[in-house]
Amino acid sequence: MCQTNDSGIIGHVKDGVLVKVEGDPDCPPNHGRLCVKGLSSPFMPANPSRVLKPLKRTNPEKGIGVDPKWQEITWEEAYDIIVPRMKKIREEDSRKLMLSTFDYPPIFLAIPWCIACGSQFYVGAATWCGWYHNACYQYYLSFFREADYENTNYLILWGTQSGHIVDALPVSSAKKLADARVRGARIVVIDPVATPAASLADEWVPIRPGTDGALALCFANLLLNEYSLYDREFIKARTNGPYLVGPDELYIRDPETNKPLVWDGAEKRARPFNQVEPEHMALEGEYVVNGITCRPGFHILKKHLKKYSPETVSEITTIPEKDIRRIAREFGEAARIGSTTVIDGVTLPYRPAAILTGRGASAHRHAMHTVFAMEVLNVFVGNVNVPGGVLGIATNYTRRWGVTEDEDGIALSPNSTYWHFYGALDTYPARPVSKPQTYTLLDLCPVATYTDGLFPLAMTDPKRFGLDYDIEFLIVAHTNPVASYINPGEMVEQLKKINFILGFATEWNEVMELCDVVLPNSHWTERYDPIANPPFKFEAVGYHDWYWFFRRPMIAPPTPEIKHWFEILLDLTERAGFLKEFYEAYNEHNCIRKPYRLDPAKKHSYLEICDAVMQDRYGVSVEWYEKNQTNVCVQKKTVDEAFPGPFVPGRYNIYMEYWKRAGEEVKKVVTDMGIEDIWETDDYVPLLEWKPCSSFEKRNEYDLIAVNYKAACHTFSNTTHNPLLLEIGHTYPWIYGIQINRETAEKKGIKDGDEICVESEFGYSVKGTAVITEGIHPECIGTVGACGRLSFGEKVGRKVGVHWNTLVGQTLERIDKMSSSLDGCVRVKIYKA
Amino acid sequence: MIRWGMVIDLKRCIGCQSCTMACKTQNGTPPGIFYRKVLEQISGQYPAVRRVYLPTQCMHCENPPCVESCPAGVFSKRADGIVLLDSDKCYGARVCRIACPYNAISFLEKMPTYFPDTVTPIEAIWYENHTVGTAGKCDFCADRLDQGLKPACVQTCPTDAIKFGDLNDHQSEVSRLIKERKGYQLHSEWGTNPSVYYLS
Repeated sequence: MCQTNDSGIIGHVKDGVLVKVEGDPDCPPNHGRLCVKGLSSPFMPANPSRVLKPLKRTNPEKGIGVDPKWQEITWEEAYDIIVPRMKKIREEDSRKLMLSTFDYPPIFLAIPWCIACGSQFYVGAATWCGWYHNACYQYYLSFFREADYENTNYLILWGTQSGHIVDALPVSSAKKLADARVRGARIVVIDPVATPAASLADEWVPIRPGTDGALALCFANLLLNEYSLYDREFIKARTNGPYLVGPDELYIRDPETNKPLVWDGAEKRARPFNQVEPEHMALEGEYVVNGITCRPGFHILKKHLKKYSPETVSEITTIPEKDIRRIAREFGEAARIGSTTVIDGVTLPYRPAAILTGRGASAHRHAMHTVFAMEVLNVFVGNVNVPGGVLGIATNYTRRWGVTEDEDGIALSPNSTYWHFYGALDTYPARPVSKPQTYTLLDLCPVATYTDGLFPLAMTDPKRFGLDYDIEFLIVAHTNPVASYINPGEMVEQLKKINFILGFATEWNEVMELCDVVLPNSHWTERYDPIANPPFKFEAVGYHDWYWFFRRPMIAPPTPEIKHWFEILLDLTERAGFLKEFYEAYNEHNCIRKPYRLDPAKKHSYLEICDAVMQDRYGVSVEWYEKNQTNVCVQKKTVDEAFPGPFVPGRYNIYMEYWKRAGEEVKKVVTDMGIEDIWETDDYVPLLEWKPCSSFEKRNEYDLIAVNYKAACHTFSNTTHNPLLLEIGHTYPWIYGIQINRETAEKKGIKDGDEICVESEFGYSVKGTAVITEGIHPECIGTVGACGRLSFGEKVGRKVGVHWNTLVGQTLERIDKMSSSLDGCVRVKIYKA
Repeated sequence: MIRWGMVIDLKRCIGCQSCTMACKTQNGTPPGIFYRKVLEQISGQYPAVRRVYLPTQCMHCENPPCVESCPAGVFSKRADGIVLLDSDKCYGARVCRIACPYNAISFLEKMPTYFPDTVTPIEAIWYENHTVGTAGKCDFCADRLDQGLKPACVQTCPTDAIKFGDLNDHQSEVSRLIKERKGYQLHSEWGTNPSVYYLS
C-alpha cells in the first residue's frame, strides 16, 4: 500500500482471519469509501508466498529469476550474521551501509536511523513517481499539492490522472473531481495516451512525448504577450518578477542592505524591494542603476517567451495551433483574474482555473525546466493557494508551523524545517555543492528534490564521481528498485556488487531474491502505524478539517516473532549498540520539543517513539486514540489554513536567478572533479526553456516512443502479486496489453490481439499483446508500468502484463543533471513476435 | 412500501472497479465469479476519443424473467423489490442465465482458487457460501440493508457514482436524480422494469 493516506479503514475478522476491509464511514476524508487496491488487501496476509521464517541464501549466484536456494535459519542465527556485520561496518566506515525503504509511515524513523548509524538513505522505489516533478511544489510551499477541485471551473490535467484513483489522495480527490464534473467544470487532459482520465474529460489533447515544456512556454507566451491574461498585482506583490536584473543575469542589489532592488515607479528610482509598495513596482522597462543597465526579471522573461510561438510549438508538439491558442485563452479567462470570493466571512482571491501536472509530463531530460514551465502558469494567473486554484498540503498548519521568507524575500516552505525527515528536500534555496558524499550524488544537484534515481549510475563507476568507498551492506524494506526503475538486468548488475543485502520481506519480489538474509516482515494489517498519513505531507486540501490517522493491527502476524520491520531494525540497533544515538537523532531531526523528546538513557517501545512526534505535531497521544477507540483525530481547519495564499509571507521564483547561481557552484565542483565533460551545467539558466530530449529525433528503425501510464488497480510493482487485482486488471485490455494507434498498426500490419515484440534502442525487449486503439498518439506505444513481474518466487503475477521498465537503459546523456530525472521517452521498434 | 433502487451516474464513474472489488470481498466470490462488472466502451476517432464505463449487475426487475424461468423455484422477489436467489434450491439448470437479458447471473462450474494448488485461509471462509453447480447474483446486499447499511458497492464508490434509495419515495435522492437528470433503464422496452437506473 503506497499511499492510503486519505482512507480510514476498518477490518472484519473471522476466526482470526481478515476476511474483508472497508472504508471507515466515520473517518474523513473518505467517509466509508475505499479504492480497489485497498479493498483487495485482505488477500495478502495469508498468501502462499508469505515469508514466515528467517532465511539465508545458499546459492551464491544472484540474478533475475535465479533460485536463491533459501535455507531456514533461526532468528538468533540471523542476528548472529547481521549484528557483527553492522558493528564492523560502523567501526570501519558507516557510509558503506545503506538503508532503502519506501514504507511511508516509518520513513520519519528511517532517516534519523541513518543519521544515528552514519549510513545513507535510498528510497529505492517509485523513482518514476515524481521525484523531479516535486521540485515545482515550491510554488505551493508544500511537499505535495492538489487542485482545489471543489472550487475550480477549469482544470488541466497534464501528464497525470489525478482524481482517477492513481495519485496520492486517490479516494478523496476522485470524489471531488466527480463532483466538479457534474457541476460543469471543464476538464482538459494533455497526454500522449487517452487514459481513462483523458477520454472521460471534456477534451483530450494528445501531445508528442517530451514536448510538454514547449507547450507550457507557448501558453505562457500567449497569456503574457498576446492575451494579457496574467495577474499583474500578484506578480508584483508575490513573485520575484519585479526584481531588477543586470547583464550578468543576477539581481541588482542594494549596496547597503544587499537586498534585491526594484524600480519604484512612484519615486522613479531603484529601491530595495522591501521598501516599495508592490503597486509601484515596475514589471517592465529598462533602467540604469548605479551605471548598470537593468530590467525587471519579468520583463526579460516576457520577451524571452516570444520565441515559443504557437506556429513553432504546434510543430514540436503536434497539437494544432488553434487548439493551443484556444486552451491558453480558456485557461486565462477561466481564472477570473482580479475576482474575489467570500468564505466564512473572509474575502479571498478567487481563481477557479488550475493546472495540475504529473510525472508523465516531466520525466524527461530537462525535466526541471519542464515542470517549472508548466506550473509557473498557475503563478501567472495568481491561483496559488487560493480558492479554485492549486493548494499546497498542510502549507499552513498554524498550530505548529508556517511559511517564512528569506533575506531576498522569497518564501520558504515549512518543509525545510519540519517535513524534510520524509526525505523530500526543498528546492529553494539551493543547497551547497560539493564532491558527492553519497551514492545518490545529491551533493551535485543543489536544486533537486531527490536524486535517488542516480544510485545505479553512481554504482556503475563510483570513482568517477569521487566516491572513495563501496556500499557493502544494504538493508531493503518495502521497496523494489529492481522492478520499478530501469532495466532489471542493469540494476541487478549494480546490486550484485554489494557484499551483503538484508531484506525485510512480506512476500517475494525481485529485490528480495537478491538478498543474502531475509527476515519476515509484518503485513500492514498486522502492525501499528500510529502515523498512517504523515501529517505533514498527505492531507486532503480544501476547507475541511485536519485529520490524523492512527492505524492499529487488525489481525495477529502469522508468528509472534514477525514484527514491523522497523521494530526488528531497532532490535538490531540495540544489539549493535547505537540505540541511544538513534533516540538523539530522532529528537533532533524531527524537531521534537520538550517535554515530548525521548530520553536517550531509557529504552522506548515503537509506540512510545511514534507518540513523541504525534504529541509534538498535533497534540494527540497514542493513549488518546486507544481510549477513544478511533482511527482518526479530527481538528478544525481555519480559512487561513485551508487557503493560505494571502496569509503567508514571501515571493515565488519566476525568474530563476538562484538556478544561475547554483549552476556556477556546480560548474566549479565538476570542473575540480574533472567530470565537466559528462556533467553539463547548461540547464542552470534563469529563464525557463524547452530543449528536445534524446527521443525527439527519430533514429533509424526506432520509429516509436514507448510511454507508460497507470491503472487504478495497480500501484507500480507493489500490487501485481495480488490475484484479486490481477483478475480485475484483465477486464480492460489496455492494462496488460500494448496500446498502438490504429493507423500506426495498419502501416506495420499488426492486428488487434497479435503477439508483438517491443525492442528499445538499448537492445532490450518485451513481448505483449497488441491492443489497437484510437486512443494513443500515433508516434507512441503505451503500457502500464511495472507489470509483468520477473520474480522467481512470485506465484501469480509473473509475466502478467508488460514490464515497461525493462526497455529503459540508464545513460548519462539521458539524465537531467538538475533534477536527476531519467528520460522516460524510450525509442522503440515493434514487430510481430 | 419501499422499493429499493439504484441510480448509477455515468458522469461520475471512472471505471476504477472499486465497486467490483467491494462486491467481491463482500460476497467472497471465487475466481471468475462477479456479481457486478464494469464494462468499458471506447469510441470515436483519434483524437476525439470517448470512453464510457457501464457498471452492470442484477437489475432487480419488477418483472424478473429469472423468476419464471427457474424450474426449481430458486428466485423470489421480496416486498421491497429485491430479487433473491436461494442457491440451496439450485440444481444447476442454468435456464436463468438464458432468461436474464442483463447477463447478471453467474454460475460456479468448478471451484478454482486464486493461488495455484492452495486454499488460503480467507478463501476457506469465503467459499463456505458457494457451492459448485449453483448460480449466484447480486442481492443489493440485502443483509447489509437489513442492518441499516448501504450496499458494499454504494458505500465504497470513490466518486459517489452509485446512489441507493427508495424508488417509491418521490423525495428520495434516487427519485429526484431520475427525474432531474432523466434517468433511464437498460432495455426498458423489454418490460422488465429494472430497479437500476443510469444517468448520462
